Amino acid sequence: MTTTNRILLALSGLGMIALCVMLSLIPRESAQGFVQKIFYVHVPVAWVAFLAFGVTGYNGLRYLMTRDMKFDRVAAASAEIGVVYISLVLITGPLWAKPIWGIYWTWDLRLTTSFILWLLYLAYLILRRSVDDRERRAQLSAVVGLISFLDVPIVYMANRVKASQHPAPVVGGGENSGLAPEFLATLLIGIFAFTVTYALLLRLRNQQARIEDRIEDLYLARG
Amino acid sequence: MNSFWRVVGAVLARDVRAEWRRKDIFTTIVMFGLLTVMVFVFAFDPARHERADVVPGTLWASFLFAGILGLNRSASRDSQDDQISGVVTSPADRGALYLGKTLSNLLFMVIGEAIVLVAVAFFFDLDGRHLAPEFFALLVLGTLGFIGVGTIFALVSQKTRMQEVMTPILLLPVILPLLRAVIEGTKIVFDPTGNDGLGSWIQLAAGYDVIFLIAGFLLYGFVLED
Repeated sequence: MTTTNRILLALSGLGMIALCVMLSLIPRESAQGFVQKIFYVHVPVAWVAFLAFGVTGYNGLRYLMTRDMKFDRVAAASAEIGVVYISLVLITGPLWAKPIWGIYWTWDLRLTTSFILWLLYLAYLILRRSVDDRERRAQLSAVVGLISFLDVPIVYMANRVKASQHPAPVVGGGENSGLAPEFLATLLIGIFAFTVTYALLLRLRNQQARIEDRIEDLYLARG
Repeated sequence: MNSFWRVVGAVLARDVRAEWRRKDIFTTIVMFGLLTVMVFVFAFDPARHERADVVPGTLWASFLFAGILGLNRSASRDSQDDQISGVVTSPADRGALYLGKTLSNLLFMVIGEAIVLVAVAFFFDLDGRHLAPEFFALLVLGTLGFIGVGTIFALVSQKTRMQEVMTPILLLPVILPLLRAVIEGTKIVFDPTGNDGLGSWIQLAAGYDVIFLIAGFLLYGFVLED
């Protein structure tokens, strides 16, 4: 394991522990009580999912410009982790919604957008599994990854029109938004912990893919 | 620039000639379009629902599913006849190839849609109030965006192991916001109480078309030449 990975692992572990400690220390939210604490997982995970898909789109573009396989490996790794994170969003969301809204699911802006994102990137991964040749796979997935990424803001806009049951962003979401300092600190620790974990997973998956590619090269060279 | 449009014209003429001989894209779109309408008639009994609730969704779902089959037919015909390798080795502008292919797919789609629309207008008693200019604006924008993305994804799918099956898997998630815009827009047109909010759906569909036609124009070459 490289030094960078060790540092990332340590930071990710520390971040997760800090998040758990904070979750047990901060007071219960006045209106929703204990269940509101899922917020500190739900929001950071959603943020990282968007980040991950951005990384996939960007690296797809870099691949098309350079034809360097390393960008394709990062794009693929990021999409895989992004799908895991968006799945977590889709799991933590309903767990929170049931006690508060009385239902697991409603077709509103953020829920629909998250679900479509999940479908978009699952399709991207299915495409990758369906192409054997490495260069062809990189090329096709870069194109599809870019188009999917362009689609994300439009998906959001298409679902914005109807009234939303999901709360507006609590931080930076307008005049009455904002969190008490201890709540904000917990949220930031959550974002930190989940982002560092994403970075660690991305590096590990990327290194694994590089080794896979080298083994394939050796295999082909041997004939 | 002149040679650019000659390539567009050549691709369009080639596809139209091939279609004139076989008529398989046309039959696929019309047959599947009508069958999808029937499926929706059984799924949502039109006698018990408002027209504005049933018809827009039926119409667009039918166009969408029929269109996917048409796009697949069009793309697989290129691969079968091995026209693709001829096209790839030619020095023709990739954007022109995309435009020509998109135009030919658009042409087949519009003809198919027109026939399905006549049938739907007959079955559901649609008249000038429903088939207003706004409706046709939505029809053009929806079809254009769908074919623009579909043309490139049908070619991507041809290059995968799953072939035709891949097209809907890739295309449907990407097309969902456009589908939402045109269905909601059509509902507003069909609603007799007024056209409130129609403009934003038309804008969304138009924005979608611009973004993805440019993306397709720029990216088609990468798919062609992998």
